[in-house]
Amino acid sequence: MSEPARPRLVFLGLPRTGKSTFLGAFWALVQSPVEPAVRETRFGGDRSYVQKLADQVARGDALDRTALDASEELAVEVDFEVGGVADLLIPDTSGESLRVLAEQRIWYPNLLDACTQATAILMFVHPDRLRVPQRIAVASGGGEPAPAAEPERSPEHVDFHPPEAVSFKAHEHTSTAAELIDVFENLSELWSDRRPIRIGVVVSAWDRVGGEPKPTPYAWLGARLPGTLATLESNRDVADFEVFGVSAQGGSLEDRDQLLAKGEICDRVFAEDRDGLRVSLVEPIRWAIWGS
Amino acid sequence: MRVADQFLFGYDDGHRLLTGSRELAPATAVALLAATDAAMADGAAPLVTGLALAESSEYAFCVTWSAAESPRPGAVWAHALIVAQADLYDAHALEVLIGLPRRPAAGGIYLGDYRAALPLDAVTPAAPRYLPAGALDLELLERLALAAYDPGADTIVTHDEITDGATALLALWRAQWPSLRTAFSFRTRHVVRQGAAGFDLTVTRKVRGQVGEGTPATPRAPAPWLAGVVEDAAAVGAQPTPLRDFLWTFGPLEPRDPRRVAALATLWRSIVARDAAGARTQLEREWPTPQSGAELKAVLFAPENDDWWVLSEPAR
Repeated sequence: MSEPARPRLVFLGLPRTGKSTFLGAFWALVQSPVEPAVRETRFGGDRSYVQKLADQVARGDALDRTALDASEELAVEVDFEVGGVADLLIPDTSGESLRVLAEQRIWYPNLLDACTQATAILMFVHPDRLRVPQRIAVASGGGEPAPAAEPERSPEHVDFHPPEAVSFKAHEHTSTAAELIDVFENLSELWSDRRPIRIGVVVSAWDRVGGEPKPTPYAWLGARLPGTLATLESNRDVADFEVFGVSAQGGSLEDRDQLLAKGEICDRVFAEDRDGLRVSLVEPIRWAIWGS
Repeated sequence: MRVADQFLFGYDDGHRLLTGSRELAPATAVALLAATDAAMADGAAPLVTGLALAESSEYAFCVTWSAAESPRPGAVWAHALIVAQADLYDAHALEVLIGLPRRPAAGGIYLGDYRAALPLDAVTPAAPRYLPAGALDLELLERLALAAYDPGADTIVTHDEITDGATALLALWRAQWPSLRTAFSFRTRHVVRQGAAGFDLTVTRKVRGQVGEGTPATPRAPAPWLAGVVEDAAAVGAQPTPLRDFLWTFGPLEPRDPRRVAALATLWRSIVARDAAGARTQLEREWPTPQSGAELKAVLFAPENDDWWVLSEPAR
């Protein structure tokens, strides 16, 4: 019998992008007897944290946020229907730790450790929580009508030395795409000696994405985060990447009764691959371990 | 005039610094962000954190509360106070600092309350609002002293009553000689993971990754030096013990390492027992070079101090 793979995955994403929810749903599927895509092969160890997440997902509860110092993880040996046995380790990283990297340009120690040891990354984005790029004139308040005394200035003009200090906190205006590209560059540097790395973009709350026809996850990424997609496309020597849409709750927590009426976790959660084809919710993790 | 700079952390699309009395260097801001954040259930007992900020020669004392009023489960409030390390040398300033942390009111928060530095002088220390008044748990204090000071001990102590843990931790911290106090980082938490480092002492309800999670570790056999250290820590506010005088005299000459407390407290036992041979043996073992513990050796064994010891005839 061959040795199991020993993947070390890291879920990256800003706060409230669905990382813990996905981890809880994944663990619920691992334990579900009706989910054929994955099963647990070695029992034992401390599962209390991921079990709590899975229970919260099952009840349709909003999950507790992951504290910066939480140091929680999923450590389990599982057998994927397509792929094989993997001794899997996934630390539950806090969204704030990624924010520290994006905004303060400081690696939070726990995140640095996890990323240094990681064999692949799943990067989470929430479709309702994107910050789109703004013109600096708008972001700094310069978009308001210019004073009458200076009619020649365009609405986009911003004084380099305004008479009064302009309150501007970069972190309140940085676009999601810029933050993700910055994270990609940091990862690229961190893994410069073992490229290409594997990065999966996971669009969470995929049930909330509409449109007629509904876009594929790849098309959605191209439309909403074109800079991120372009960066990934043009750096294939650095990272092999995929895009997934996942609904790890199977619907909105705002209508919990309707959500729970859909049935058990395995009945209501779903995922789509880059082309919009339905796949098991465990597929992003399976791909992160073994690739296509 | 000595002041404590204050900083309020809370939930704003993630755990963030909401306001403060001054700007923070990025590295300090990140350190505080982590030190003030913790996994807490709604209504759980507040958590205390002491964090030595070596790079800026400052010290941060923080209290974290659950924020049940926040729409995001697991959100917390935290009030962090930063003082110059030199301010911790003053017992009055220390007591004022310990009484400063306050939780934002559940009915509405006014950030302006957290934008001015707070005086440490000419104010009466307040009783900590985050700790219920209660007796010091001496058995727990002993376990904490062992964990913090014994060179072979695990620095994580499990205990169900986290507020008792905070009370005992603060007693231990107060009793330390000032330079050790400025370098001693501690925290109470509801859950930590085994092996997580960075603090000299942690009191927690649960340790993940530990066999028998959630159950207190079996206390080790008490070390002989412990009784005096516990008695001294419990006496804070009352008359200092002779051991305190000894530790505060010679502790500052030692490296800023909590484990030196055990060495000095053991030596004190020999001094009290007038056991010159025992003292000399320990000095040879723990201060082996001529430079190490030089003042201690001179004070204990200089010719003018011969009358300290009851020496046997052969030893003379």
